[in-house]
Amino acid sequence: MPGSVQREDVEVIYREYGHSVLRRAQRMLGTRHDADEVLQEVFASLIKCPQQFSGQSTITTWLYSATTHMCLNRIRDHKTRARLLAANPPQQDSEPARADSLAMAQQLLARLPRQQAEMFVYYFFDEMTHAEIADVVHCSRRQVGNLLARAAKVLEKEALR
Amino acid sequence: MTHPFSRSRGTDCLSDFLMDQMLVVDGPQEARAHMVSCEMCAERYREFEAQRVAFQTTHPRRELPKTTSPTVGWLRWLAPAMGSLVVAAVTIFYVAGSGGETTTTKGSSRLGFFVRRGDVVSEGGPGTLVRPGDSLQFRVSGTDAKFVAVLSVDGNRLASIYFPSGPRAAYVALSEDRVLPASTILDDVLGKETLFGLFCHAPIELEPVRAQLEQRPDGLQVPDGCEVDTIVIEKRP
Repeated sequence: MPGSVQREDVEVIYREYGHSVLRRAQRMLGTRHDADEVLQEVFASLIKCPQQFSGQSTITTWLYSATTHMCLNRIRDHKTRARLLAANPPQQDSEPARADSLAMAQQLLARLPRQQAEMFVYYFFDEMTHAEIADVVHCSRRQVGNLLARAAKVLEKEALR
Repeated sequence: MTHPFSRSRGTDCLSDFLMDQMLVVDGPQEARAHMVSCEMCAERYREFEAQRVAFQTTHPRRELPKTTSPTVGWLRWLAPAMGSLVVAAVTIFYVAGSGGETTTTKGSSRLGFFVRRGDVVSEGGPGTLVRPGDSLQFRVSGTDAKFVAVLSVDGNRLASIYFPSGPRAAYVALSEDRVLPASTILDDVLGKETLFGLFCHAPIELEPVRAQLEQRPDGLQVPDGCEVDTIVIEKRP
């Protein structure tokens, strides 16, 4: 069964797709060290629980979902977030703060409900379409739009604080 | 005041998600055409390709955590029963090379199957006689990671997708023989049944393939980027 991937399958997947896990994790977390740890966690997870990948979706879909979950776990853990904040201090400039600042993005993602945070990662970090996001999170395009709109309202309130 | 997140690309531009997929398999025609006309997307794709190559250099072999292979439930009925394979059963169920059965193969990937009837398991092949209620379990082999599907056209010219259960061809690492899960129980439609093993470089949508097979059951129009292996069996009461 494709879902019951063997160890040698994971090695092939690692070689072909590992770069995208590392790139996305580094983009979300900001440090190579944390990105490397997420890379190891994602593939260790696949080895230990191969049935996670059922073959119903593409391997890219599964890896995007797993990487996002693990990165958001780290961002939402307050001790880890403090360490990430120290590694990525907010930019000091005269203009209103933008989420070009990774630290601000992480703080905002930590405040969003989980599903909305995922949507924001896919929409703004990966610049995915609503259809692509719907495919990864297994919901309809309409739900994607609704959740993004709800998240936007939450973040507008946060930005005004 | 709007929230501070923003997107940087044009509405037609490609997402990182699509580009990551295109690094391994061909992307949709529109995406490839866009890459020709959009320097920003083409540049980003080149960056991803360079990162991929660099990763394979800096991470050539990973010490993955050791773990015992999980016992896969769907193999239990197959593996022990192989020890009780009976020559007579093979004789009954196998018809050697006659009656018009054919196997056509393009490429290096292969489709095979096992037949279970009661507690007896036998290996199937071209011209195998099967009965309604028999279980088929498919086996695939090849040399590359491929996206796999198994379809069939039965004696009533109805086409079915036996594997996978989802809408697209499923990823299978074909470094050696792999038995696919979810055995198929044969219905009571009699006559010749043609099995098509489809081995593709992309997770193609299967419903269009199934629909095309029903319109032209005598031949599968092989989708671009796919190989096919065909086996004809016969279902009798």
